[in-house]
Amino acid sequence: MTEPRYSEEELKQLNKQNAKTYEIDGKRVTGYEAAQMQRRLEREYRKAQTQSDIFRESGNDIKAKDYKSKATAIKTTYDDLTDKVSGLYNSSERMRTYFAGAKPLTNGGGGGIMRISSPISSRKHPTGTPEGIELFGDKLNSRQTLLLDNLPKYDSKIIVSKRKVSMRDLSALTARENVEFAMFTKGNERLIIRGDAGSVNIDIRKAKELAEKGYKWSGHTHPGSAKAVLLPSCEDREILKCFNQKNSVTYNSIGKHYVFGEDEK
Amino acid sequence: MKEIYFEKLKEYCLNNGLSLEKLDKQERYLIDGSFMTANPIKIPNSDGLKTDLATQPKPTLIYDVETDTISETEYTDLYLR
Repeated sequence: MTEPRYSEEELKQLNKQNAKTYEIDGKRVTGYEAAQMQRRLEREYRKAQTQSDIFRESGNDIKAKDYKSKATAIKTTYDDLTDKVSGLYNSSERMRTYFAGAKPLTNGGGGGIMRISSPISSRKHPTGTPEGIELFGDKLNSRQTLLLDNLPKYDSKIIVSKRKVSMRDLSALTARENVEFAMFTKGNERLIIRGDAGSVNIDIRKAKELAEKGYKWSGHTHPGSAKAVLLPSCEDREILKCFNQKNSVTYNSIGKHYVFGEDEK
Repeated sequence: MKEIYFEKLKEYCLNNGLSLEKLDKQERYLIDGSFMTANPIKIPNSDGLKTDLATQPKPTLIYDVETDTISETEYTDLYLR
């Protein structure tokens, strides 16, 4: 588990890439810093767009327009940044919000979206729910905070007892950090690994090693709140084969999940 | 149910000039009340979760079962036209 993420050759390439700097908003930033800026913009965009959708559905068109303008401005900045920095790619799927594609309440008998029956400021719900964190900027609960403290950066790992973490907790962490998390279970222990916006440092070889040690792949998260975010990748299925499992699960940033299988088409 | 929903998408493709042949090659998913087709993405040197997002399929058509509506996505033209 202590093996480096990259080979020497890959590291050289990454260092070379990271040594290159870009001028963003009058400041020189490295490729890594630009990628961090991109993650922040994705998160800010989803929050502004979600606020706009909520106000629109509650009939407050003025506020809806305000937040829409904010979201549009963030998207413009995001696109400029992505164009300017080599190695960054536009991840529109992960900027899509919960409400994207939903029909207005007055035009579909519900439209599959939540009804706003009370002001946002008067909402009462438990802390630590993925949807609360993603949609309203709520805080993590204490056990999630403890987990995050032990998973501060890419490829951080922690082993905890089974009862101290669930996939919904990882969904909450994903809502907070906008990165992937993967969970593997062996007996009463769970191994959690932090990824970045689009990957976790588990290749086929490492997956086979974990399987040999007796771990099962409980699931992993994909940042974003749209249903399409839950789609399992081709490589998700390859990892599933390594564990000789029939199913695993993907969670998005609002606690929705999808159980996928090896042979599913 | 997937077959029934897929028939709806076939009809949609016929009525909107989208390729049935390409639709047949799409992966099919029923996720949280939505049936969606998605184009599989393969890349060279893919390696497990290290290339997770890069190999995530792209949604091409989404059928909302509850409202009986079909939505195109930004990938519809690219993969189904």
